[in-house]
Amino acid sequence: MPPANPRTPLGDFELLVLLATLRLGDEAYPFAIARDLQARTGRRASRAAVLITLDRLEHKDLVRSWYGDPTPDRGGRSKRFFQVKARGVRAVRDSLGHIETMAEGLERVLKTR
Amino acid sequence: MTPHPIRPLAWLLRVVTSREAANAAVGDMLEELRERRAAGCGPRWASAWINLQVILAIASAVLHGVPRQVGSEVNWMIAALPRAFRNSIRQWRTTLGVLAMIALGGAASSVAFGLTTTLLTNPLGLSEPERVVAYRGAFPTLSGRAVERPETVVDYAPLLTGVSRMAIHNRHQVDVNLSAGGRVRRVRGAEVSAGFFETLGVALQQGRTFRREDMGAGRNHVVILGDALHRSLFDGTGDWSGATVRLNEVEFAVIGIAPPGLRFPGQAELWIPIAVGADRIRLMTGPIISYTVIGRLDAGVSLAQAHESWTHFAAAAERMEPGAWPTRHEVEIVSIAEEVIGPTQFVIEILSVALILVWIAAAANITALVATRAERQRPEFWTRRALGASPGRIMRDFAAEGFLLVAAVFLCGIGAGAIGLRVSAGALPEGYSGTTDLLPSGATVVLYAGVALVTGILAVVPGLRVALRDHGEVATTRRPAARLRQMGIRFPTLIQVAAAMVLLTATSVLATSLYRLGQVDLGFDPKDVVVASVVVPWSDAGADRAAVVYGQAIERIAALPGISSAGATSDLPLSGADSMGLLFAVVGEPDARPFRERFAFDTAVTGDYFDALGTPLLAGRSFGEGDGPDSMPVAIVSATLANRYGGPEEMLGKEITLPGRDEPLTVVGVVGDVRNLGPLREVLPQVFRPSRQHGRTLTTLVVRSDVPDATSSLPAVREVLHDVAPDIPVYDAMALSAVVRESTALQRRAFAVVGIFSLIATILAGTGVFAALNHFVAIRRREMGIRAALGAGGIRLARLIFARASALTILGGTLGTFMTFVVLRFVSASQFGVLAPAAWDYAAAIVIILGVAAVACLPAALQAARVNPVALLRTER
Repeated sequence: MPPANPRTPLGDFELLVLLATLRLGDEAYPFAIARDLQARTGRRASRAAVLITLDRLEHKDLVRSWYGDPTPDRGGRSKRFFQVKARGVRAVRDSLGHIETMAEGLERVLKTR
Repeated sequence: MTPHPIRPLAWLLRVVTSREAANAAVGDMLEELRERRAAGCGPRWASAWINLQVILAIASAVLHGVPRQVGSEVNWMIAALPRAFRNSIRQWRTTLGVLAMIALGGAASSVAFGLTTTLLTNPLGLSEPERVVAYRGAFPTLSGRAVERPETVVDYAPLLTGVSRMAIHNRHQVDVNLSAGGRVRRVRGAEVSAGFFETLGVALQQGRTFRREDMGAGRNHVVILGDALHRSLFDGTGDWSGATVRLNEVEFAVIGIAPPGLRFPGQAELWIPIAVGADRIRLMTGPIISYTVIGRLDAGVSLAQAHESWTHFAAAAERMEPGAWPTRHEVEIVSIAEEVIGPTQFVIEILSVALILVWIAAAANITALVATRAERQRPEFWTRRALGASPGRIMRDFAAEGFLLVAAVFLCGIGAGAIGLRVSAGALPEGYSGTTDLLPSGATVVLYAGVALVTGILAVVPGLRVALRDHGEVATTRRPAARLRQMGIRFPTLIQVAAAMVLLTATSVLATSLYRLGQVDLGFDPKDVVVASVVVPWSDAGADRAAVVYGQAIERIAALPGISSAGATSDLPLSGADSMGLLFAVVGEPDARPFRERFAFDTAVTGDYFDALGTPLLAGRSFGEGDGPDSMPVAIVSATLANRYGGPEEMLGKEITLPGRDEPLTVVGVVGDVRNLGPLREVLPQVFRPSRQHGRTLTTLVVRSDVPDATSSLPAVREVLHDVAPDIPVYDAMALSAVVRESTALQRRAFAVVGIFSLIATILAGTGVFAALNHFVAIRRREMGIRAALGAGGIRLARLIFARASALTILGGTLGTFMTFVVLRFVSASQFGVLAPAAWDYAAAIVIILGVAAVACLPAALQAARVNPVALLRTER
């Protein structure tokens, strides 16, 4: 399988997952990200969907992952933590910039102000 | 610890991803589960949700993770397929061999599996056969001459816990003459109570089942037709509303049509309600009846629980109505499927063992053939390795071949299985064909998939071993297995020879047993005898008409040219008719004998029955014209009975009494014993009475001719019978020798099954020996070239091959002898007249195998004899 092109624009869900990962910092693991997404956007995202997206982002070299220490509250299982890499931050910034650019002049239509 | 519902899925997740990833995913899920439970979600929903999550995780792992890791391997394998295919074509002999093995194994297993499923799992075509049971035992209220209110059994069900319905049916088949559309024919009927179909769990195709009121006197003239009979009577139009049929000259209204495949009990083609009072004897050949009680258990109720429930009930009932109920020891509750399969179990056991042996032989053969091929391809693998091909690459090639093999096993198995099933449909016991789907069932397809996979893996492993060895490495190991391999003796071939040995021994044993069964003195001479069944129904004219019909028929048939004697009987020996056994007593003799010794068959005969059957008269006289209804009651007894009371001469003039008869019978003659129930069954005493003094209907005409081909007299016999009684059908008209043959049908079926399987196994063993020795020649060519160069002649080299073949056969034969001992422990054959194997059987098997091995090793021996050392050494590098 050819490596994913990191310059491919981020999808909507990818962007949300990256933002949640950035927000959660050291506590970003799939279930926490899914919970944060639901709490903030009301969008129900399954843990599996979040994990698939994170896998894809890791393949695009935008995030990195590692396994933490096992914790008793998870039945002795470790968490798989994710962290956004610098190029991931850049990709988020680019995507947000594109959105802002495209939304310019549409304030009245979108009633965002 | 992971909650139980998640565990299996989590394990699967671990398989498709990595251990850490699966652990982390399950950890997330547990956290989510706890959160959901805290939010008030019920444990079942929470678990269901989590399981869904795991399934999603597995799907995502398969869709995203796995292809990334193994995608290239899969691509490689797909790319290797054409190469594997080309290889298979290039080495067509091996490929053909493998396909032949698969086809043989496939056909054999399909037949066995199909028959086993049909016979064992659902012989009756019922939806839940395990819930239907028969109450086997003595029911004082349900047998004997006068059955009082048999319909009341239906009312037992609510009194028994765990039983939802109960019904009864006549244990004996109720054959009737059916007139419809101006034609009369004999059909097999069953007499059943209300609730019978409901107890079986069968829904009628059309119409209604029997109700309680259908069993009332005068209201029982209703009939339910079987599917096949319905089609033949109504020409496939299916329009039966308001139709009537005449059974034994009585009008019966058709009220329903049974579903296809249902022929229970016996081989019933139609069902009539159990009638009470005078009406019932119109349909019977005699007034004595015996009912079987069947019940439908509630779901999940075991046979032990059903028995316990019956014991409680019988104890309570016994207190209320002493003597009317069987005690707890007298009733045996058995699954109805088991009751119906009965002795067929023996054939199934033989079939299953034979099948396993053939599959083992086939799998061993495929393994050996593929290993031989891999051995031949060795130089090619070395070259490829030397050119830089990785072991993984070569493994992928083998995997592609394995994949092709799996596909071939699967397709050939299904195809050969379908053909095998069609061919073997005749091996099914009579009546089962209706319930057999002659295409491999879903279960068979699953079986093939499993077998295909195992065979594919088994076949590829030895090839891999060869392919992955280092370049040109010479096997220097001293392990015994490697040593044997070098000698041309390989384990798969040994297994094949052993399997063939077991089956050949079994064939020899069955052949000897069959021969001995054929030699058993049945007490009569079936040669030159034909029989024909004619049943004059009971009616108001009753036995009188039967006496007239048989009297006239016997008189006219005896006068035909080429006929030496003719007579008739109520129970033809070996015909499967359940003769009436009665407790007799000899007047003036102490009655202290055990119960079994005072039990005799009571048979009605007329005309020159004993002459026609060929049973010798040992003392006294036969019946004559003077033995009419108003003369002194007389009887002829069999030798066994006479011998218990002093011998044939002493027995003459003695008086015997039978139940239900006040006047004693005077013994006027003693005849030789007849094995009524079959060559394997014990000889039971028999009392014969002249039909004009007996209440029972004659059923079978027995005619002895003095022309070479007895069956040539059948058309004339039929013609006379038609003249005498045009309204009564003649059926089962055949040579008596055919009836005798039919009595050993089970043993012959077992012989045929084992014979076919042993033939297959012997062919497999032959090809196994062929492959092993070819392989031996292939790997020892160089050595043989050197031997030839040093002066060894062709015969000497060929002798080397013959020695290997003998060693293979003797080692395999020894293993086979051991396996025969083991297999015999699992087959309960002695009760079916199958003898234990003798030295002769083993010797016969080993001689056949040696012969086959000698033929199979000829090509290899010729190859060895023709080794040209100059040409061989020139090509060696």
